[in-house]
Amino acid sequence: MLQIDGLGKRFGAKVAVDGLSFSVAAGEIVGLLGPNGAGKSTTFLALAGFLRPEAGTISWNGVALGHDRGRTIALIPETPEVYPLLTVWEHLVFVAKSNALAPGWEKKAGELLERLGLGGERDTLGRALSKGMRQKTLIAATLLADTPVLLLDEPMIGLDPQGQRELREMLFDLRTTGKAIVISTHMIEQAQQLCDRIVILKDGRFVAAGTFDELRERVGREDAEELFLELTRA
Amino acid sequence: MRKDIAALAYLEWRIRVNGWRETLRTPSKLVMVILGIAYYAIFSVLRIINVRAHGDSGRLHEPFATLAFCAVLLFMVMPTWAGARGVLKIFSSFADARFLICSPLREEIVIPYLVLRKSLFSIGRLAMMALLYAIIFPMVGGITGMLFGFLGLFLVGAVLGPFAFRVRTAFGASAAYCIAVVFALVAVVPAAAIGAGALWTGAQPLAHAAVHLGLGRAISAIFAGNLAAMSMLYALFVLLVLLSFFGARDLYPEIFHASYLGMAAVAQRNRGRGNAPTIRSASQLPKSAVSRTSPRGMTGAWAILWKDWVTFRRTIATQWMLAIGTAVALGIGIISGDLLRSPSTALAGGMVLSTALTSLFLSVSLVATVLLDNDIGKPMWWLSASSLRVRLYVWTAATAWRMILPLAVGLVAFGFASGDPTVALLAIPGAAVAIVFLRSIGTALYTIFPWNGGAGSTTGMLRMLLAMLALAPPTLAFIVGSAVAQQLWFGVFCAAIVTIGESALFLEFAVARIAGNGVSIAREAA
Repeated sequence: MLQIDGLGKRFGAKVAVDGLSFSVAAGEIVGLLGPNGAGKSTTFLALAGFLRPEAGTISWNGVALGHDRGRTIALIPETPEVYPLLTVWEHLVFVAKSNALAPGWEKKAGELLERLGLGGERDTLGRALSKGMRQKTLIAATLLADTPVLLLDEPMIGLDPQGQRELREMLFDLRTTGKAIVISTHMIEQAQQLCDRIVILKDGRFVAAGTFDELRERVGREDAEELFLELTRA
Repeated sequence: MRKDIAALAYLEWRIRVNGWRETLRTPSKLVMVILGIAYYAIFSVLRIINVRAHGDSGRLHEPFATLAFCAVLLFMVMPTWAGARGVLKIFSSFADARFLICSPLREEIVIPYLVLRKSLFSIGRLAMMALLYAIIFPMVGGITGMLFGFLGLFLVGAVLGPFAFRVRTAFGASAAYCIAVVFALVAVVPAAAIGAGALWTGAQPLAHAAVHLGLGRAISAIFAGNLAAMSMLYALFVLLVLLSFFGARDLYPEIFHASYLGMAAVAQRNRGRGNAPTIRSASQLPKSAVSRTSPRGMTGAWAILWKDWVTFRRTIATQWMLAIGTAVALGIGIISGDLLRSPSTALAGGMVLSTALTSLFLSVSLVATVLLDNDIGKPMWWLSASSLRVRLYVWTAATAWRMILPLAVGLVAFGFASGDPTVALLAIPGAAVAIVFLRSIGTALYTIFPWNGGAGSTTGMLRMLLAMLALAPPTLAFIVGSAVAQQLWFGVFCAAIVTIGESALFLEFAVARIAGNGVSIAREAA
């Protein structure tokens, strides 16, 4: 289980994340929801080791994660950047070498590319890929590295309907393999379809958490959008 | 550890190989590379022939050797200060950060790799510039000594930033700033003493003392190719790398934050292909910089002038650059003007003036390309009711004033110091004509060579060469005008008229090139 306790991050006088705590079990998809500026991306950057939080602990299966958490947590940012001068396949070779994968990884990598519809783009340079393809390249690289925790920041933005469906199905498959997945999104409908639970943030603070049904019962709103607006109202 | 190094070597190797393949596949880039190589080959052969005929006995004499040392050290203050401030592009892109932070590669291996790559990248970019210096300054040293000397100095300069950054993370920002200040003092004090000695005989003992410190000997020995001096230079580089990141752990967040501005700039240049992830600004805008209403009259293309002014007020670094540039121009104006008054120091005055004017020429024509690249790639720039021609003219004016001001101050100072008040009277129009001319050259060349490889790249060097050719018409006009009227000022007047005409032609050329192609030019540059 991924456990976040009291995570805090400031930028000067501005509090971006304030004492945030939540957990994600293995085999669970949790949605991080909140209005613009709620602190979702900052939370992800801090969890992945890009930013140093001023407070809080991050642990996986009871073991506190330190600076080498790249073995455990992988981030797919909202703006998926890949190396412009590496081909899709070379990204996977680099990940395989970095992770010292056992021989035979090429088969898995090939299957991943085919599944993500990147089979024909194997030798395409990163600079020539569309946003959706870059995102898929990052997903393929992340799945090849096989980290137990995946953070996806607004993963559906920029994907066409077919791509969104493929990604959704892939995330459901990953859930069955025991990955702990956290998704940040603005799309309430997507969150409803994808997430087992949601955590709602506002101004960097925890607002509510639970399944959609639990939150509906608590707030007394049936419509998911109304529910979200009610919870994040000032 | 071996596997980590192998993975990083693979990454670097594939990026380099694919980069060269892309260059070879792009005809315009290939032509530029061939032209660049031919350019250097021709000048190298000429230099070798010259060496065979006259011997390779170039040597930098005092006090110029000490001044060169001070200049090199002053140049190194900039990366040291940036490292001390915590602004340093160690991760080259967000892809770099994503793939290296989210990986099991050991940080102790990754960070030295990033620093070395940054240094090697500098070599790649600056090797041509080092060779150019070695070719065009035969009086300073041997070609091998100068080439490897410049490369070594560039390497030390490249790693000083990470070193100061490491000092900042280990001992705090004050300690890092102290290093930068010490460098600045070691650079400025001897140079000021030498300058004072040249201006005032009472200060000559100080100048002699500065020369006798022996700082110039180090530079002379390096440029002469002295093996011991060269070895010490490269040993210093290795030492700085080791001191920077030996045993460094848990620094990724600080390095990511320090690299953020640079990475965001890369992502912004690659607009349309993704933007930067958001890190909130740590500081709020000062109240004085907030503009809630648009000023009257600044509509249409004039909105560019307003936008540039608002941006200027919000950018502390630009304001500092203007202040420092004005102070430097004032100093150069006074020193060179005063030196030119006396026949015994006229040569030194001429050297100071010509070096300053050459630096101005190169920097202004280069900055034009960078600024235009920043603007025309943005959709906002194209949302205007005014024609492209008017917008480009206003843009040139809006971005030129920050350079006109220091030059005008420098010319006024030069005029009074040299005892020629006419120069001071014509300072403002003269500076305006000169800067607009240089900006228009840079703008026109940018539309031909949009590949933004920096000043040290092959393209950058070709741009410089063509920019120098653009100086020919005003120079000819000055010579012919002066000769015909037997009046120096008539020559200056003729040169000014030709300069204004040529500026307009360059801007018209740029308008024709950019019309309908602006965004694609900016993307090609990226």
